[in-house]
Amino acid sequence: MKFYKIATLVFLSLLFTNCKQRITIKKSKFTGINPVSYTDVVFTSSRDTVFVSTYDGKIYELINQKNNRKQIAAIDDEIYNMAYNAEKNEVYAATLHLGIVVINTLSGALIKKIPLKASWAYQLCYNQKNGILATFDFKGNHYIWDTENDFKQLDTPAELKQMRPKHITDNGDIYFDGRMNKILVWNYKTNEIKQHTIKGKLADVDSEANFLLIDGKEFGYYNTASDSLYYSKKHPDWPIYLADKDTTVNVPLNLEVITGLMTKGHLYTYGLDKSIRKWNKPSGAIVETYSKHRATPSAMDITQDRSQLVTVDLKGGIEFWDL
Amino acid sequence: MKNRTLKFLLFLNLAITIGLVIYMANNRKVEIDLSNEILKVKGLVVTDSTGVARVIIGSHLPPAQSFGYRFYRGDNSGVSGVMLYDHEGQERGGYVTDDSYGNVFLTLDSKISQRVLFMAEPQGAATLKMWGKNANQINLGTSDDGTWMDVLDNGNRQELIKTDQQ
Repeated sequence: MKFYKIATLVFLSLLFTNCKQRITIKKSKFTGINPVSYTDVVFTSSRDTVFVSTYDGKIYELINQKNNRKQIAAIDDEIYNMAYNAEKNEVYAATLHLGIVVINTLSGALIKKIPLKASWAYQLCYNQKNGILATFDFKGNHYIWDTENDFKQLDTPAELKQMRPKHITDNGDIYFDGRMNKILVWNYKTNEIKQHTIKGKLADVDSEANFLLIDGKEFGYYNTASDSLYYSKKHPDWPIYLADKDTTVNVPLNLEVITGLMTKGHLYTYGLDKSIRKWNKPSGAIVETYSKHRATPSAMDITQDRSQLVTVDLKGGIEFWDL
Repeated sequence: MKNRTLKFLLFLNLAITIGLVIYMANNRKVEIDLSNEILKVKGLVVTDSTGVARVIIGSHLPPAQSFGYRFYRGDNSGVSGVMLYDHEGQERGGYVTDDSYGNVFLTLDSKISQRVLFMAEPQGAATLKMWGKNANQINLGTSDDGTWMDVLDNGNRQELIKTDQQ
């Protein structure tokens, strides 16, 4: 009986102790808090299917003309740029804190972290054919990895110091920009280096090894054979969408061009005016203005056969463009 | 005696359980009134209805957000204060102090870069600078040693005011 009384009292005491209300505050950070913006987009099939990344560390699969998106992976970091390895079902992602991460797109698992020497990277370039992945950080360090050889880092010549890798071709040419108005082309197989004098940042290289250069409000198409610009252009007329009138007015102002890419016959650029412009590559004449985006575009990608373009923006908009 | 004790305990248990149920029902919603309290926090983030950060008060503030990535502010360039962000999450200005020189400054930024700087240095010099691209700039300042105002139009400098007390 005595034991029974004591047990009851202990039980009541425990009950009272656990009745105390506990209030916890959800942990937050200054980064990774923008769930809306798409930071990058990459095609994952011949057309219509893409992966998009976000500041809050998510990668989603999106299919053209379908509203729902499927979450592929979630990491506790911001994702700025992606490269997709279709053969291995892997995404290489540039992040704020984790360096470059390798994510398995079937399981969503983070399978490798490649740290950087300093700060972080925001732009990756990758060539599926030779498996070379390259990037640079804000301190001027560049990194070239052979993904087919356990991400072995390749040593680069001293001439490339402080240069930024921007494009890799199938034959092993890696295009660097970033210093003294020049582009250096280093072939990692032959160790040969070629130099071009340019003004602006390298956005794309076409099949004839000519450059698309971005320089503030202007972009230029650069002929490497003659080492000179074919032409430079601005986005004409800022198309402003008036939501209350559901109409677009063109204001005669030129805004910054952010980046672009090339097909065999055309150039595609997007800019701060929220438009995507199609240009005739040989002549530089504007062919079309696409102004469906209601926010500033943040990334674009094109299919292997150059028949479809996809663009994403900072308010979660995505548009597929049949070329 | 046994029976009475058990009855008493049973009644007590029942009373406590009912009391607890009433207490929990009344305290499901917790309203915390901090109007008379001093809050000590590392940062505050104000988000809009879509979850995009629009105001951050913090120490240190995060790197500036651009078109799908963040800029590096540089070494020893931590800033603390209030930062404003536009509806796309891009940094558009702030009222901050920095850790390296001890300046206090107000900045206004375009979507591409900083365009206005209003600054007081720790030793007393105060400057207001506004600039665009193509080397266009207005620079107005004063310190214990003098006052200046100059204008750069496409890189061509015109000194409108320059006084030097030394």
